[in-house]
Amino acid sequence: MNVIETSGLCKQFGSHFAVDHVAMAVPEGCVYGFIGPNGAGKSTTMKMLLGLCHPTAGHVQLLGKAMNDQNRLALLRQTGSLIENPSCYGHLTAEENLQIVADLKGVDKKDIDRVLDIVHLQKDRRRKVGQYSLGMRQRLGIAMALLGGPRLLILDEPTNGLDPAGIQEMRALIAGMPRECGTSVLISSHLLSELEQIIDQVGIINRGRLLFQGPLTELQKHSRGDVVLRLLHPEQGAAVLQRSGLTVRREQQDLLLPPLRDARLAELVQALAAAGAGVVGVTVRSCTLEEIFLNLTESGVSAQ
Amino acid sequence: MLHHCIAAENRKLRGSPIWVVFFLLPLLSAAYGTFNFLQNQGVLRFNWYNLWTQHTLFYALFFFSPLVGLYAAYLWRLEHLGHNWNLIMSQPVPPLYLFMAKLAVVFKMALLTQGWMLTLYLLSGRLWAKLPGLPPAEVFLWALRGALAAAPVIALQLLLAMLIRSFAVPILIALGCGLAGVVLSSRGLGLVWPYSLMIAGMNSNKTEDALAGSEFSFVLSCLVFLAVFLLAADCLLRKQDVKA
Amino acid sequence: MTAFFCELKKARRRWDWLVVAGIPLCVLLWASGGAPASGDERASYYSSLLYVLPVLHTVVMPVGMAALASRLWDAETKGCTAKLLYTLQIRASLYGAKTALGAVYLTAVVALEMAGLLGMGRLSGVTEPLDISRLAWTAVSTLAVDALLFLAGSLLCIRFRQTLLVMGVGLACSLCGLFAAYMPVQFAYFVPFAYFLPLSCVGLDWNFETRTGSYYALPFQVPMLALTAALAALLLVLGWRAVQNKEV
Repeated sequence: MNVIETSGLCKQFGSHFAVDHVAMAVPEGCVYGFIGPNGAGKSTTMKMLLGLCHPTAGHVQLLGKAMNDQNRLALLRQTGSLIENPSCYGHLTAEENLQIVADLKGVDKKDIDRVLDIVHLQKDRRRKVGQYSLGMRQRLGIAMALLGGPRLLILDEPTNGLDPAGIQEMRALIAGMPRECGTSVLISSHLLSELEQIIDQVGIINRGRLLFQGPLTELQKHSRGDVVLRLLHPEQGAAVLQRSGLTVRREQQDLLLPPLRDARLAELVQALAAAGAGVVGVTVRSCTLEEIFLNLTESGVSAQ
Repeated sequence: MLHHCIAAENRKLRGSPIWVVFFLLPLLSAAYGTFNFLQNQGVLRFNWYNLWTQHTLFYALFFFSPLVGLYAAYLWRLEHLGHNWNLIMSQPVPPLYLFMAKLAVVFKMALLTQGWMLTLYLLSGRLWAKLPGLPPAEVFLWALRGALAAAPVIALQLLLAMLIRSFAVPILIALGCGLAGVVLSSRGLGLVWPYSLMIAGMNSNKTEDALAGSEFSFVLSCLVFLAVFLLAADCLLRKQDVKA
Repeated sequence: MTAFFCELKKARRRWDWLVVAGIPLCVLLWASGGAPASGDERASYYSSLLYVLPVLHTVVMPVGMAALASRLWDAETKGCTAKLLYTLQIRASLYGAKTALGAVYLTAVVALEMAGLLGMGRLSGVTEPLDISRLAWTAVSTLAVDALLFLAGSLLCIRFRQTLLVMGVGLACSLCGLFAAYMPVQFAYFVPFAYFLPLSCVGLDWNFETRTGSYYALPFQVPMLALTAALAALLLVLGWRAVQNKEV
């Protein structure tokens, strides 16, 4: 089952589409990374999932049910969220803030100890939140989302303001959620290197449009980069390659070819060797997720 | 579910400076009212009724509506700051319950204010003015009526504070509307303006009951205004996008 | 000047002008409720309004000025911009610019009120000749006390981030000021936020037996006006110091 499913989801402000026909599908039991540059439409999409913002068009389903007035309360009871900046009442302590959320969610107050323990705020539970650092407020926001053990967590850049140790802890916590608590997680970020380590599924959005959605391994297939050939006689080699219909670029002494399948590459190496070009080295460059993301978002072309 | 929302709202008031205002304003009103009562014994009669008019005249005419406006503005201020709109509107409670919880809490504060004012009235009457006996039962009814009449004003002020993300402006509006209420009351139109209902309910400038014979219209007016403002709040909360 | 124009830019879409118009509207609305209506009474229309205005100001202006001060300073509190602004401009210029904008607002409040008063007189077909000096004195004294109230509100906004406190104090001052209106006039000298009363330029002789009154001109209380201006200047200095010393 998909815990989140949208079809044709749009949000229009005047003539500008902040979210443009997004068809998102988040499978149950996974950590789904929702990636996009600033202003891509991540937060707006997440707000529509929670009913904070009304879609201009399209439908939202959470946990297999339509997100409408009838189902809204039941769905939100099983959902935890942290959207935009962390929310808190600065004049109250962390414990009091969590008591308020526990009241509204109808959750046992004993759960407060559990979530404070998870985010390592036990020591500061009786301090006023107004005195907290940004990282501590972020952790409190996550604690509020975790109250009640929700089936679905929607987290908008949850590692903002955390130090490296905090980011690592948060990563470990989120990665373990499906396995340990049966919670599916939708997490947005623009810190791709950190998401890469914890997500199973990825959705890339830019200018309101979903450019890619699928398993991370599928995206990593796009990570195959240029082929670098080191030849004793590069001019001879270039001529052979051009006769084969390939676009060749020079990089100092090396020749660069676009990404090729292994079989095709093997054929070309044989042809080069036969032509006496003197093949010294063959290297396949791989793109990082960041490079793939930048390629996708700059070109704006869907990789589906 | 509503009682959970009310519990949450009550928690938000912990340690808040609003209690200073709650305590101070009726105290000022009582102190002056008693002083004026004793200074003007040539004009006023030495009885509990006249002490009541001196305690509540200015309070009901001018200050009760900005005071409830201040309570309402404070409760919404907590949500306007700190991106708390996202938090409360993503909770599994009907949006109207969030509004009604605030209404309940401000109403409780208005009731406590009336109770405090009554306590001061009793204490200053017995200990300062040295009035004999006890106040007539009607004054308790008038205080309760004033609290009932506060309900539609509280709903409207909560609506204004929800929409106008400024702390001061809804309070200024409450003062202006309260003044309009004074003018309308003096022209016999007290029951068609929510802010005049408090003046009529508390009976603060007459010693005989100003609402005698029109209690039903008074209660109906309170309930109709309350229903209209609750409906407006429900509509706005459900239809508008949340802006944190 | 740059700082002042920045303040004007910050005021965009803040609808401060609605507050500026709303304050004299409250006063005039209330005044119209008790304004003379019959033929004989219209012969003392302006005098009756100038007589009652100080009491109306005592109720409305503390809350109104607290609201204006709050509008100007709350923008910095809500946006947490102090830590940015204090690296971009000297603190005194920020305070000066907000005070200058406040002065513009106060002048507009008083001007609108006086214009409204004249308008009401014209519409009511008043027969009393208008004493321009009385009107001018009322305008100047109202402006002076409004400035005192506004600067007090600004000082509270700078010292305490809680707007609740500013508005609560405004309400308390309104209440106390109103009480002062019904105490012996000497009491009002100790209540600066009620200085509208001792600065009044119209008195009333009330005959209890015939239940009629006649208005008369009071001498202009220039020393009182000077005291008001001096207190306003003191609050200006205190506010400036508060901005300088504020920890951000």
